[in-house]
Amino acid sequence: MTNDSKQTRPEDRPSGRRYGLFGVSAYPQKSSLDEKQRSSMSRALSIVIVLIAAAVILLMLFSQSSPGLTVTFDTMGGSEVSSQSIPYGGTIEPPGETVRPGYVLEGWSIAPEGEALWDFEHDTVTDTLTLYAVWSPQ
Amino acid sequence: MKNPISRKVEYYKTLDAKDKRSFWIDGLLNNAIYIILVIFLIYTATQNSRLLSWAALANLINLVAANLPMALGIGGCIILTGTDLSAGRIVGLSAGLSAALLQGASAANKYFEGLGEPGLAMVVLVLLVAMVVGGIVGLANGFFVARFQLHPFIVTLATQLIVYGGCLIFYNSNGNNGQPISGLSQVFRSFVTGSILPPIFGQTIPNYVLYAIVVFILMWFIWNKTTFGKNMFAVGSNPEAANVSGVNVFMTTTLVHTLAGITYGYAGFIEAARISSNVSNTGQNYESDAIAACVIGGVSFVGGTGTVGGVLLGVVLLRVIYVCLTYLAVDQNMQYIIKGAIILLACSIDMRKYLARK
Repeated sequence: MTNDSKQTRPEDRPSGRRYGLFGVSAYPQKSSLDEKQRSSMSRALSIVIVLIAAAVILLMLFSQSSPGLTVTFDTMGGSEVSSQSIPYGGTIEPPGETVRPGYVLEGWSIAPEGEALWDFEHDTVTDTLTLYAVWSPQ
Repeated sequence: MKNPISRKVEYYKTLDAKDKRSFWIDGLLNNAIYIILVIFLIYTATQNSRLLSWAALANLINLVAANLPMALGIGGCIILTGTDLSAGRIVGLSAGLSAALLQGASAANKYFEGLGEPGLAMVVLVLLVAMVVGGIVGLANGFFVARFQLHPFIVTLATQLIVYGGCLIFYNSNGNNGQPISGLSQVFRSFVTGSILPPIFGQTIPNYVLYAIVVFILMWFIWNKTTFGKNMFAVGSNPEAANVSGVNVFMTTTLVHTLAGITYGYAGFIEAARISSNVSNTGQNYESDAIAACVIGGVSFVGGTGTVGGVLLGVVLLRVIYVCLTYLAVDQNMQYIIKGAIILLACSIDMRKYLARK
């Protein structure tokens, strides 16, 4: 057997196949389709390919259920800070400026009592959460 | 010696305007999946930059290694102009068996209570048992297809149901009552998911990636360097001509399906340790991903064509698309629709290429 046996040309195949993928000849026999039928089928396929490709891309773009996990910032009396949407496993961007007269911002913590401060560089988000501002008097 | 690109450029220059247009149209349509892939990657990277991390790449490599052996097995069946719908259930049965035989000595709900803690020899033995079990089902598939000229679709549909029933009975026997089989032994887990290699770029490479490379090389050798491989392609292209040329069509068909079954058995063994908790439903629909990967990778449904590199490419492409969908947090139900659409797309492209061949 030479290497050619790996890829016989379709027109060399016999006109009757025993079975195709679903027990019937999965592909129309080349000899049974004339040039006109072949080109119209090819054109229909081209349209189908474009339609399916477009559908897949649109589905991807518009079917995200949860673009990220919501992180809200409770400023505990300071000025408002907008919440963020962080993808799973991501880190939180240090939030915008917040001011509270007479107090200095120590940092943000996952608990209102303010024990451990959130490490914005290393801590990752795995669920929706609220960060509470930790203030210390001036 | 001109390189292929300059040759193609020269050819392009000789075309007239109409042919130039169809050159571009053909190029776009035939490579639609690659184009979609690039769009997916770019969009996902902008939405979730964690996609571009070493961890994501390592995760992708692991997924490819887990899915490649099965795709290679099913690829052989597709080259024969057939298919194999029983693949997923064979993986499930093999996984359940491997897990049950390799649970730790102190596992809760131990399936075979008499077994102690398995050593490395037992692990290797169970791997062989898994491959033999898969091979037996594959042999049955191949025998019915080859001996009685039955359609592979219907034969493997039947064995799919039989294997699933056997799997359910297995999970309900010996006092297990349908519970998941977990608590796998440390030796088993480190054999599959442990790592001989040191971490690369901070990522550990599990052993099953190395095993998948071995399987890939083996399959490449079988498909390209053995008489059996050449016969497989011959029978897939033209069974009558192959028969006339002296190829034993019966043996070739049977062996292709048996080999596929062996790869499913191996895949089940790996899967058992990889997912670490196995249920009777493990393996359901795995074959759809494997078949899709093969079609995307150029293993045409007309039969007789395909390369191991193509199968690998198909597995990688499909996995990248799935990973993108995960990182985009696309609704799980929508992912089914997208997967189905991609299979349709791959088949349409395949058909269009077939019609266009001069």
